[in-house]
Amino acid sequence: MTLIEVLISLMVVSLLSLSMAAMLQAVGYGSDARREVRRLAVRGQQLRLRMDDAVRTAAEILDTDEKSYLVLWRGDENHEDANQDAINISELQLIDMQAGVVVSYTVPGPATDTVVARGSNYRQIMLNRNDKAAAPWATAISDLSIKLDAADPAEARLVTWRCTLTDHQLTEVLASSVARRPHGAMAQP
Amino acid sequence: MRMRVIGPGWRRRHMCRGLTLLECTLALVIVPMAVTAVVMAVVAGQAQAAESLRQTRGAMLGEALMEQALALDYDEISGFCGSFSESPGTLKDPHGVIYPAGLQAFQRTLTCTPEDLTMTFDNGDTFTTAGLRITVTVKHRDTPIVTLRRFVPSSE
Repeated sequence: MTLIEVLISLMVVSLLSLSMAAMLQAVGYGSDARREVRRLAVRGQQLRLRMDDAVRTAAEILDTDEKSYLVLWRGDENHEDANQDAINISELQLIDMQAGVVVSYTVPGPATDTVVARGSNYRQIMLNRNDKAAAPWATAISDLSIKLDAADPAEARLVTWRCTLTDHQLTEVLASSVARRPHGAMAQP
Repeated sequence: MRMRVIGPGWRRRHMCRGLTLLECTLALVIVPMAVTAVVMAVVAGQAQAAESLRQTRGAMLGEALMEQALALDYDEISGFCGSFSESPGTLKDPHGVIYPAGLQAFQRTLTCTPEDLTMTFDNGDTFTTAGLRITVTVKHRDTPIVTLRRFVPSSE
């Protein structure tokens, strides 16, 4: 081989190597877990479905500060006792965001059940209970906002909420609305 | 068994032969084809991921609009449907707050049509109720992404 041939072959090999390296870099970038769009979409969908289910089945919306929590009355579950139509702590659900984590709190009944007076600080009462069950719904959440369609939460049917979901280098804004079911709309048969 | 004895003459003739033009041409065809195939697979994967995100966003917007309609009293739903139409860039939540930029590429339509829904029970009995069929359609660049339908029975 002459020197020219060696130089030409080195150039060709270099060009091929460069193109291969660029391709592998593109593949690595595209499959980087830190830019996984599907995971972000699934996490958002998961939070939305949980929120939707909680609000749709709620008998009443009790309280919200419009930025970090929502208290729902899941319905009167103890019809037979003296506390009929009263709000029991085991019938409450607190959806609360602290330090970027959305957590759903419930208190098991009926052994340690108590009646909660209307207008109480439902959130604090729930958080003070040692026997509450906490179910984390989503992590890496910020900028949560909750709006109701009525000034009095008891009259509200529609909950509109937004938040920002972060997953490594990606962010997604979730914006959803969910209604309690006042007239029993049926799904498409 | 025949054995080939490799001597200085064979090396001169065979080891220094290099690549023929045909081999080079084949290599130049095969390598770009392989590269193209891999790149296309990656691009297709990316496109699918983007499409899934688009579908999820479309479903979220469609559900939000459907919920907005379902929160109304029965008598208010028809009026709401008749006046509702949103084009890209104008999408707002029920409180009139504009949605984030990532959701503004969609368009939403809402229609309501009176309908009698008949249900048949296991024993063969039927039950018919009047109501409204609410249909929400979400499009992205004129391509339908999501269509949601709900039947709301009349309050009578």
